[in-house]
Amino acid sequence: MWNNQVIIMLLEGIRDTLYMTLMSTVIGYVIGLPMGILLAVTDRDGIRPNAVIYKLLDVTANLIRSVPFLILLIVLIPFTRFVVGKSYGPTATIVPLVIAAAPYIARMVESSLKEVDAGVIEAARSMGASDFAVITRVMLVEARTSLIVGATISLGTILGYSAMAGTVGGGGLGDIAIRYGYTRWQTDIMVVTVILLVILFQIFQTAGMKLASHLDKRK
Amino acid sequence: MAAIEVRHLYKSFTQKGMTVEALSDINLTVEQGDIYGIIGMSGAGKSTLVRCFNYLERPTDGQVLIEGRELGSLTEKELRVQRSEIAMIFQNFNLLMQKNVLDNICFPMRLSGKKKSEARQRARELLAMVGLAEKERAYPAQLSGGQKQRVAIARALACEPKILLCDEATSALDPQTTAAILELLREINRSLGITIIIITHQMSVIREVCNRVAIIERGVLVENGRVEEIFSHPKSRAARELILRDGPGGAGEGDRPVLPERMSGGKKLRIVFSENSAFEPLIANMILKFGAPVNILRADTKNVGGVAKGEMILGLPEDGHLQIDIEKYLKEKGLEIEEVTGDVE
Repeated sequence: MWNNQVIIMLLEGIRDTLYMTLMSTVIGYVIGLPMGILLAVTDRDGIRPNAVIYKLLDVTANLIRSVPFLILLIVLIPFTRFVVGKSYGPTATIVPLVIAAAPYIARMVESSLKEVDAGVIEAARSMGASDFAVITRVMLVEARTSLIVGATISLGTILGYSAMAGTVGGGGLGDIAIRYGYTRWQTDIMVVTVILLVILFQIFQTAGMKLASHLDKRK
Repeated sequence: MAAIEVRHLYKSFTQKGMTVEALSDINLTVEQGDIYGIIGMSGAGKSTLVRCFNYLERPTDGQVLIEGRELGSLTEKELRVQRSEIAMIFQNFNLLMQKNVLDNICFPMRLSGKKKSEARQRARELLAMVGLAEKERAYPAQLSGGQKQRVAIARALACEPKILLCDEATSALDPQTTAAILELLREINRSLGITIIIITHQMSVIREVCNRVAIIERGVLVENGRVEEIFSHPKSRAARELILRDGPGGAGEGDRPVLPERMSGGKKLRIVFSENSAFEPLIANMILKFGAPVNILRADTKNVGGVAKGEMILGLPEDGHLQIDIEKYLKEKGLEIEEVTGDVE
């Protein structure tokens, strides 16, 4: 059974998984990063408290995060079809992945930014820094290490979600594992895909943590 | 024109429906070139007060004038520009931990739009001035407390401020480092003419560098004036307490004076020696003259603004006539005396 066809399929699976995971993380950050910043800034002890904006984002994030991903995937099928034109395949999977990932990323960013020492923010304000400057030049810089750790964790989670999308024909390694391992009882192929997923996860995790630690100047 | 003028300043905080009055009716004037100390126990409101000087805290009522400009009348943008002229240093240094020393000092200059190369050049000059020229590539985590505060001072001076606010700037430092940082502040005051405000709970800090002092107790300014004056004639209970707590010798804390268990009854006098009388054996002469013993309840010598000031509390004999004679004698010798009533802690 280890013919060329299977190997090509697995390689394509890796490619599709990487594509879905990385694209979803990037787009997830495009939405989640500003959302997380807004959450940190508008919270009661943030630099510009705003109960209305905070509550709105807070409820939205909780709402999406409380729906299990598998169900979100199915619920979003009409929306996905509207955006991408079809509901299966790697590109289509990016839509629910982003929607699930963005609030998750926002929470990660929020908690990273809240770790920034209030004293340093106060010092910047005493120098005449605007709110924007405090966010871009103090909070994001000081929280850099924690933000990268957060990104690493998010990436791992999204990788897991992308595999779950295989149940509805999402493509990638998860899809292969479900089609061959579950539907066709070809356990060997499933085991190989699982090993590949584990290796991918390890690579992301190790690289992210190395980068975070390399950029941390606190020690 | 006064560097800072505070008029009828009030500040209250509302927490869970409870209003706490942090500052009430504060009036004070800081002249150009002053090193002005603001002292009080923790929770007295001194940190809140100093944050009103650059409007990091907005007063509930009253005015703060910086060189005649009322901060309350400025727009948000004007206020930010004004703040860049009032530098501030902190107890915990508050350096950017992810940036090296040079970039930390460049930070305020970059905020105000200075070119990177110019900012770096000035930062190097400032680093040399605070004696850390070789540390420009180090990160704050690699520096000692005293070095961090030096970097913070260099950063504070970057935008050529007219006023420097120091919020418990030496409280996290050991006595030697404290003395060195205070010396640096004095040097900055002298050579650059920057007005300095020092917030502290240590009377020794006030004594070492300040020329004027205000004493804050539970949000109220209880006493202010020249430092020597307040050391010689403290009027408020808070001032007396702070002077008593001020340990002998250096700027260190912790070595509290040993107080007698019980100050005996009868009349007690607090006498202050000025520079001349400190060398004359006055007490000995007095005892010889009247043939009556006095009880020395407390004695201390302090360096106040470069002048040695001796302070002594005497328990006088019971004899009323003798007491009057002794007081007269001491006054004739040119000593400042004051009766101490009640329990001296």
